[in-house]
Amino acid sequence: MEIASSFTTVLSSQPFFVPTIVTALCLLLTLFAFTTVRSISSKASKSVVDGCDFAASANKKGGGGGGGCDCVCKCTSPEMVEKVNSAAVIAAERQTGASMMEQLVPEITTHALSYLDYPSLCRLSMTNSLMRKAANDDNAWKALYHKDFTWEQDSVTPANGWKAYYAATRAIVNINTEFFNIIRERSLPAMSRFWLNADFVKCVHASGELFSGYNAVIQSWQLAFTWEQGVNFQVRDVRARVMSEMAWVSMKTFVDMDSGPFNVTNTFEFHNGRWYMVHHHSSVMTIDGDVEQQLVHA
Amino acid sequence: MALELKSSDNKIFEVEELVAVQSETIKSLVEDGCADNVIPLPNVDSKTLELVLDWCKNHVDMKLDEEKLKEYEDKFIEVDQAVLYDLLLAANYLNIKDLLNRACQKVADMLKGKTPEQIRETLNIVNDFSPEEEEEIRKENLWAFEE
Repeated sequence: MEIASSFTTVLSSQPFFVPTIVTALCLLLTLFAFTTVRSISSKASKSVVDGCDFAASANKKGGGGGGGCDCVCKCTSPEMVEKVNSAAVIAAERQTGASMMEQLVPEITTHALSYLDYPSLCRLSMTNSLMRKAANDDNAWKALYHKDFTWEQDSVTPANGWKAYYAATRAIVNINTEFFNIIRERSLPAMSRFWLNADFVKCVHASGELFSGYNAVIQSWQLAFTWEQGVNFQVRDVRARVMSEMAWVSMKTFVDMDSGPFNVTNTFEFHNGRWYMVHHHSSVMTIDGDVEQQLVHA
Repeated sequence: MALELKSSDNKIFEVEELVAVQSETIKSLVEDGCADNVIPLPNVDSKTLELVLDWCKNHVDMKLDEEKLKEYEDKFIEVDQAVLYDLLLAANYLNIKDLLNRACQKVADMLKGKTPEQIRETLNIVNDFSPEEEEEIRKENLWAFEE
C-alpha cells in the first residue's frame, strides 16, 4: 500500500508529463485501429467483388454452391456488372493454365462423373487431390453400384462407404463368375481349390441331393463332371450381399430348353486373404406357378 | 413468335420461341411473362450462344429423325476442350438437358481407357500427391485394375 501511495505521489508531482504520454498513447492506438479497420474494409470490399465473381461465373439456377446469393443483387448495378465481367475475363485467362475438370461447378462435375465406368472413375481419382475427392464421392459410387449391380440395398449404409462396397461386390461377382467357368471347363482341380476345406461346407445339387463336408462335396462334383450334359448355360439376375467375412449371392441359371431354369444360391467365406465357397444350392425354378416335373441334372 | 437473347458480350440473337424454350431457364422466363424485352444472358458469350442456338434449332428441326439427329450430335460435340467447357457451363446455366448429357458423355469418352497420367495430360491436371500418398492411392484402387 505504501508503494502504491508513493507511486501516485510521484505521478501527481509531474502533472504535464503524464497526460502527454497518455495522449500520445491514445493517438498511437487510434492510428493503429484506423489502419486495421481500413485494411479490413478493403478486404471486405474485395471479397464482395470475389463473391459476385463467383456468383456470376458459377451457375445461377437457384443459388448454386452454398450462399453468395446476397452478392447477386449488388451485381445488377451497371458498375458492378462491369467489374464482374472484367474480373471474370481476368479469372478465365488465369484459369486456362489449370484444368477444366477442376473448375467445373460441383453439380456439373457430379453429373459428368455419373457417365464414367468404374475403371475410369478410379483412374480419375488417382490424378490429383481435388479429383480424388470428387471421384471418391460416396453418392457417385452409390449411383454406379445401382447402375452396375442392383437397385436393391438402397437403404443400406456400407460401413466403409460405397466405393469400398462397390469394390467388394465387384470381387464377389467375379468369383461367382469363376465358379461357373470352372463348371464349364469341368476342372476338378480348380473346383477343389475353390471350396473351403472344412466339414461344414455343403452342396445341394439340382437333383435334390445334399452333400456335406469337403470330401463329399468334391466327390459330388467329380461325378457331375463326368456327365455328358451340355454345359452351355447363362447366369442372370446376380444379386450379391457382401459383408466383411461372408457373402451370399443369388442368381438364376438358364441351361437349355430341356432342363432349367434354376434358382441358385452361393455362399462364400473370407479366409487367409481370399474368398472360398462354403455353400451351393441349386433348385428348379417354378414357372407360372406350375412345378415342372422333369429329370434334372446338376 | 420471336425472342431476343443478349449474350454477355452484348450481341443480340433473334430466335423462334420454339427453339429458345429448349432451354428450361428461358422457358420459365417465357411462362412467367418476363420475356417481352431482350433476355440478357450474362453467363454465355456470343460464340457459345451461337453454338447452343444451333443445337436447339436442329433439335426442333430433326425431332422426328433419330438417326439424323444422332449424326448431328456426334458431329456437333467434336470440339476442343475449351469450347466443350463453355458448352457444359452454358448447358447447365440454360438448363438444356440433352446438350448437358451429350457434353458429359463426351467428357467420359475422352477419359475412357486412359491411365491416370494420360488423364492428367488430357485434362491439364497437375499431380499434387506426395510419393507416400501415390502409393496409398495406388493400393486403394488396385481392385479396379485386376481385370
